[in-house]
Amino acid sequence: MFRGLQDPILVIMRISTTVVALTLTLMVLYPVMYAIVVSLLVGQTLVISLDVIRAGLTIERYIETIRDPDFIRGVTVSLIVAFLHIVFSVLFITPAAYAFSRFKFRGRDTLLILYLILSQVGGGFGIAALIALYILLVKLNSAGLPVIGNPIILALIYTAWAVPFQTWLIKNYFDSLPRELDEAAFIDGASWSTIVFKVILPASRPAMTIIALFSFMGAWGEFIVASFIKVPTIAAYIYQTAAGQTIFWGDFAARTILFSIPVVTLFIIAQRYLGEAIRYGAGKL
Amino acid sequence: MASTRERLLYPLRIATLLILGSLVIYISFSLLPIAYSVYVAFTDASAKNIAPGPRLQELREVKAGIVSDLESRRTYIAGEAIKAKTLIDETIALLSELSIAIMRFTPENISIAVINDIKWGVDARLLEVKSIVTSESTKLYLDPNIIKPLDVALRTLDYNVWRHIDLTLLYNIHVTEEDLAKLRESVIPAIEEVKGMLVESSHALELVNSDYEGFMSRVVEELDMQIEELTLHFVGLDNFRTLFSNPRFPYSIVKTLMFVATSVPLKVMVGVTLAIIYTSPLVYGRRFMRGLLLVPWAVPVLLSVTTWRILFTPERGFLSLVFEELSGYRVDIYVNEWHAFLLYNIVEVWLAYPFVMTVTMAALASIPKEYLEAALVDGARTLQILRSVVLPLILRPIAFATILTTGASLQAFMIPLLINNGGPAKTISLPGYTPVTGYSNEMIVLYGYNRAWLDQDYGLSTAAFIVVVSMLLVYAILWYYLLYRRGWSSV
Repeated sequence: MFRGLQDPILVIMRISTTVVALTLTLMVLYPVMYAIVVSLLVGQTLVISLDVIRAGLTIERYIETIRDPDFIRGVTVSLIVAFLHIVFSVLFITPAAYAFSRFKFRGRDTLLILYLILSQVGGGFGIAALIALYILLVKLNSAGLPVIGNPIILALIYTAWAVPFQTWLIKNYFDSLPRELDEAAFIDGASWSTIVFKVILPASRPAMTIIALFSFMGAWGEFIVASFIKVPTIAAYIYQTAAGQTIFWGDFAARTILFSIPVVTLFIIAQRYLGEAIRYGAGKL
Repeated sequence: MASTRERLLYPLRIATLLILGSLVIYISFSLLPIAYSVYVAFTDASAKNIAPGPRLQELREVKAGIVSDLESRRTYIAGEAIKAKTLIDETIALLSELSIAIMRFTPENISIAVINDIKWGVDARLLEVKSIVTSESTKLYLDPNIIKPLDVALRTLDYNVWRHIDLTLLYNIHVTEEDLAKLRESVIPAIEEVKGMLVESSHALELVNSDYEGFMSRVVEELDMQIEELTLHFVGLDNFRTLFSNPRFPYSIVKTLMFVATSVPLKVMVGVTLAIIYTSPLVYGRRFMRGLLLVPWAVPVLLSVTTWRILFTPERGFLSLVFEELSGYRVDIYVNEWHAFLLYNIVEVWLAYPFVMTVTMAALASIPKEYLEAALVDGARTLQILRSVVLPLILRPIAFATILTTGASLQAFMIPLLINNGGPAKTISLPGYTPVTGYSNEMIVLYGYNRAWLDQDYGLSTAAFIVVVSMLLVYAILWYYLLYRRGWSSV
């Protein structure tokens, strides 16, 4: 776009800004690179020096981590919770989003605005709700219902908290689909089962993928609720190992990097929905 | 016409059916608990009394028949008390012997047998005393004058007497005079303490015999107290009074607002600057670097925030060493309130700039390229073009991002929690309040969370959250008004 590209001043400018940009990128990425390097070092150390690196790199910590029974249990529990969360979200939020997109009923706009407002203050509201919810659950538990430490309850809580954000996300997806298709089916007098299985479900498939992506990322990374109601998810386990004053830093880094891989991978896949996420203020997924 | 069609095609009945599931889940796990917390905020809910379980019922049953029960077995209980008292008195005598033996020991004449004899005698007697006192048939354990000194005596005996003796005499092949001196110094006062406690307990047991009515009233009083402890009480506005009568919560509000005031401008400045740099056609490979810059967004906070904490480990972390080098001050996030606060700001900026950057980039992409090119080539008009063309186009999206990210700072929770749990602890003073000790960087959401998680004071926690939720609602309504009613949301 620059006609004066041959201009030596411009070339120098391009090189120097690129150098600045590259330096900034590296500075910003420093903490993550640091964690990766430390996880590969021999011995527990905080400061990366040439001496330490000369001692050699090792993947021993990663092997130790995948052999750690607590880690394996955490991953298993997290997979169960994430799976249940996905199922509940698809089962309950997809139809609701469809209704919000296609139907006009009294209270529709109020509910949508309420969801929008509440999704902004979800963090604070969530923890406020958690304290009271915990008291209720302890009461139920002492009455004989096994709700504390129950992955199903945890998945239900995650689903409930995802309702405002995911409803909006999927409603907007449905809004972008043409209505003629399902309207034609309705007018043709197709039966409800045909409409559900031939029209709504096929149209919802991409929506369900979006829900599954966000649900998995949410369930995998969450540790406050899991710790509170004592479900030993992988995030709760990692939080527990991070909470003390002393951390075995090398082990912690390896464990947490392994834990982060699925979320980072899904984040890359989900990137194109980020614009949507931003609109509802999902500053942090 | 259209509305009739709508009503026919999309009947309300079906809509309700489709929405019902998600609404029920949302209400029961999110809105109902918040409503319930309004009730909890007016009680003294704690870990003990929210679900007392069968213990409370048991205590109530015991209480119902206690007076007639104690009355009817008066002679038996008094007799057992005297038996326990005699055993305790014998134990005291044995402990005196133990002191004398230890004082007399020299490295040459240590006798493990003497020690073991005494230990055996003491343990056997105390075991019997314990079984008499804690038996349901005597109920002597309900008299705090008996049980409290006895418990202290038993604990001190185990941890401060036998353990020291074992460590010095039993596991040590060659005992020196020095070892013995050290042992005497620690064990003799401990034995004296045990004896003192046992004397108290023995005296209380004697009182059971001589003043049985006094014993009965103490038992009833103790039962009442235990029942009270397990019962949830309505305390009116007490929790709110506690919140605002000491400076911790007001300080937390001040600190949170301070955090909003410092972190929001920083986040926006960094985010906008990076957006401008990485959309500039002057940068080679900008698309690739832009992708890399989203890393803070993608990485779970457990990894990133903990890494920041490690990098700021006092005296050993890389970044705290760099800061020390630059400023000449010792950087300690576990001791200095403002060092921790500074780190919160750094981490918040690091976590949130991708959001501001992405929004700003989208806005920059909407600016016609010719203007930017003109601004770059024609140095004289650069500022003018920036001000009159670029700024108006990106101002709204930046305002949008600013408002949203203000909400994130207002609800700061993960960062203080993972870095030092809102610490360090220090004396907190605010004008008009008596200073108290507390965590100096507990942001409002963390304050409520810590009252529940650390202190298990659910009444105070929920009261704090009612205030927090009201503050957040004010923010959210303001946000809605600015973004949607005033139409600032153009992203």
